Amino acid sequence: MFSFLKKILPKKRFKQSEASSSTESPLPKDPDSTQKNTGYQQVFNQKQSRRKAMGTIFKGLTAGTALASSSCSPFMDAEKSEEAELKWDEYFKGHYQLMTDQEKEETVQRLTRLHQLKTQQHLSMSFTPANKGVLFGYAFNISKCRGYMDCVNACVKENNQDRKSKMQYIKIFENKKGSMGLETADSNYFHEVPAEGHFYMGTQCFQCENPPCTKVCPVMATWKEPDGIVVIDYDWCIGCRYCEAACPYWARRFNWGEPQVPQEEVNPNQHYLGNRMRKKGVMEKCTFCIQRTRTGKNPACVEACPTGARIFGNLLDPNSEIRWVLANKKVFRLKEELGTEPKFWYFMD
Amino acid sequence: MKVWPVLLKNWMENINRIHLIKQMQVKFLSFGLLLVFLFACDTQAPEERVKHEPFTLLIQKKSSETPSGGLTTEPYLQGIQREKVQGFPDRSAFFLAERVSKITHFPCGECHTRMVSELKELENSNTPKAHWNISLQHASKDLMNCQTCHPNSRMNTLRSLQGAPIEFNHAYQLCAQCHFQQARDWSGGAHGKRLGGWASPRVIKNCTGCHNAHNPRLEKRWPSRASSLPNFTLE
Amino acid sequence: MSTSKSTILKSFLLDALDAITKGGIRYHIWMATLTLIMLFGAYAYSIQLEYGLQVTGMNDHVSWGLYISNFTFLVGVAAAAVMLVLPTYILKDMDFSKAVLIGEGMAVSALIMCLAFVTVDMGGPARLWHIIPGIGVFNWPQSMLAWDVLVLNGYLLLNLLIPFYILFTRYSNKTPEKKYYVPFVILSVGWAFGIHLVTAFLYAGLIAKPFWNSSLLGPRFLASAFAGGPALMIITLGVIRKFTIYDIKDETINKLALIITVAAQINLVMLGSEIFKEFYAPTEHSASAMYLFFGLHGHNALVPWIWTAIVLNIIATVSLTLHPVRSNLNLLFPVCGLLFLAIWIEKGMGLIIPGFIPSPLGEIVEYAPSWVEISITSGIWAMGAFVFTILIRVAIPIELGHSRYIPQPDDGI
Repeated sequence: MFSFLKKILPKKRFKQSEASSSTESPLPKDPDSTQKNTGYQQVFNQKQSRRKAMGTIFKGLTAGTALASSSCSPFMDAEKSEEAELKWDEYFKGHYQLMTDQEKEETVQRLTRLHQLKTQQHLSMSFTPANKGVLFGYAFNISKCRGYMDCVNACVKENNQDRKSKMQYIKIFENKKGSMGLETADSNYFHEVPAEGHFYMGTQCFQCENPPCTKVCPVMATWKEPDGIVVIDYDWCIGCRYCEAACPYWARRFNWGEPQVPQEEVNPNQHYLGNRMRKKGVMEKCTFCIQRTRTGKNPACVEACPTGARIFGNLLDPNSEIRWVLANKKVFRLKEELGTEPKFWYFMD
Repeated sequence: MKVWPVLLKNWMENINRIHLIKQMQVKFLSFGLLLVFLFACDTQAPEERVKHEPFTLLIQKKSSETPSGGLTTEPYLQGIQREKVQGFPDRSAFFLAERVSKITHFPCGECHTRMVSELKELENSNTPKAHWNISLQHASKDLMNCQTCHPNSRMNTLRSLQGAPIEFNHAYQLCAQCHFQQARDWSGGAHGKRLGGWASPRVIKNCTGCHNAHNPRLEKRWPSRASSLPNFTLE
Repeated sequence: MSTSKSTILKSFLLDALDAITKGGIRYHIWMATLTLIMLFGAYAYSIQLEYGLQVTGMNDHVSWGLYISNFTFLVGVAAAAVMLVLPTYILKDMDFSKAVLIGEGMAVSALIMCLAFVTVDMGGPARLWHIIPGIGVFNWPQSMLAWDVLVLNGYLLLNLLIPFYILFTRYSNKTPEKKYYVPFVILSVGWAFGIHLVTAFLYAGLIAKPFWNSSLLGPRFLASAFAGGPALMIITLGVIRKFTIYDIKDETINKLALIITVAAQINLVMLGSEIFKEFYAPTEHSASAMYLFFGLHGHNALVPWIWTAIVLNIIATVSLTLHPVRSNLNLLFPVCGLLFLAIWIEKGMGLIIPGFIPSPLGEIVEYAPSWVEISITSGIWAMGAFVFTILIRVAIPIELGHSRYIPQPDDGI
């Protein structure tokens, strides 16, 4: 019975908080490598190839039927069968964290090709892993925020968020001076800012070091990357919304319908775990603009803020701006008593 | 009547037995407790006993061999000339975007060959005019006027409170005289705007990159959009 | 010569099919109505699959609604079967023995409804295979949903296999052997407590929701389950007594009523404890309770619901406490219905929705189910009733001895 269980359950748990290197992993390597496979690898390789075999068989069937029907029907063309084949492969692919680099490359190619078939638009999608020695942190200056919402604008455009439901990862609260609590704050203001006697605070995903959302996902579709960003594999998410209930900061968003972005506004510079196009029924959230920050850029919100209220950087760099803020300013975080250890600090001048 | 001594004897034996058992139990228990106390007592030094340190303090002890993760923001700083910032010895080297090349009418000395009061007499003549209508909205008349920052005799530079020259590119040295708090924050990163990205090199805007020196206060404006509340409609 | 098991099985299934499809006019009208409701629910589900969950009343603020409310309530109903199994097998009280199979049948239907509610609530049901350990990724033991998947399916299996074994052996003209099924029955008793505690821990473990994050939630779930589930049991037993010749003794119903009374009293005590904690010295964490019982900043959609539930609960509990009412079957059935309704409101909408209002950042967005949600919910309830009716139609003739395997001359050759 135990050997049976061992076969089913993975030997190694997914490590949620590792600042260790991202390139070295205990997960299976390319099956063609000459390295001796561990038992774990054997199991997973075996399982994957079984799934792959199933997929290949059905792919052959689909291609065969597509070929047959295309030869019979004047309406079915090569593009439709290619689209069907790509969608089939996408459906049967495994968890992102279990993919080899080769498989990641393949899925990125399939996704960009699918987008091209639908919209004739070329994308540049990457799956850049976390950079060594980096842990991202964020600071928000409450004295400087004037409620302009420029950050929200930039975020929506950068991350290809659904325009129809007006999805916004960032929420800006206007609060009367005299109370820090968000209970009395209003996020639905629309008047000249800053209003007399009020101050402004923004929230988004705080990329907790001890995230309550990753703990509850039944399929591990969301996890914390080595550089501290909590990410979601949109194709693995089953849409149960347990993580949305678990987040104490209301940071996660669900695609209640098929997300719509006008084609001219689609941002083609995408990351697999970041701003690529999502589909209905999956979760999404702020990823500290993973497609930008893993190349050295600032997130779109930091870039857009005209008053410099948003500060971003590497917490492991003692000379970074974020570290200076932590050492020299009186910082606090929201709901600190919950023990989530968010990497988003607030401070005042 | 004979039964009583027998009963008593039995009772005494039982008591003894119970007593023995209880004695053993007490010994066992005390030995166990002794072991527990021996192992439970913390023999570590007080500092080592801190198991859970707040993350904010913990992270400030960390240092990485690759502070920029092997990345650089050079590609995003194309077209920005930079100057090393002086005067903040406790900060590692950082740069600002130079401004002089962006000033339309630099060098100022080309027009400011005479006193400003004399130049103002040319108001109604046909000589070309530039920034004629600068009005100073910065502190009060008792605190500042044009000559506070601009030396009449040497208009290509600014001046410190003591009259020492300050380059336009390093105008922060002038602002820092009064706004030392903001200058300190600016050197650290809590004030101002970063250019390029988070990775090194660190290039930031200088003061006049955001603030109009003659009217530094930021104006009110409308937000660029409103927040959204759920409002779904069926297709 | 002995006939093979497969022949008996084939005959069993054919006889079962007979029992399901043959019946009086009232039976057919009942099944037809249920089918109609199920079909309409299926149509509504097709709309939901096409357009996504935006056709429900849920949104990013209130992200769980009618579906999960019903799921939570029905797990309790499923667990309540233990209230018949426990006395029969562990306390050896034979007064319950005839009702045990019916209780297990109710557990099966309730569990099927639970699984259905969870499936319709999913944003991506086609990707549900991602949860299967081995070919997908199963986040056990960290995720309480993973635990829930295990315990619910395990409990469903237990409640399917044990009655099937008993019925099949009786049908094959043999006696079920205690050594085969009693260990599993004992397991199912502990497991029943397990399923409802695990479901409670789903909510109690969320630090983001102070309304749920209390140590009382698990015990409260158990108390309300053991009040509401057996209340439904009593009503179904009454229906079975009336429409079939299956004899349920008065003692069964009276003892069950006693169990319900005690559970309902404990439930009220726990409710009192919760109300004290929230309102003696209200903090910001009491905002959800404030919204539920009194309304918050003008938003009070749930206030009439919860007070109806509480009033009905008190009326039902007090009535049940009074012996004359409890022993009068004409009053007992309606009172049980009131209790069932009260607990359905309080544990369904009265627990899940207020957890989301106000949101973790203090915003108030109210929730009202859409027609799609209501249709699908009714369809699933109809499916549960349908499944339960089928199970009872098959079980009762076997239990009465009317349905037995009759060896044919050509069997076994």
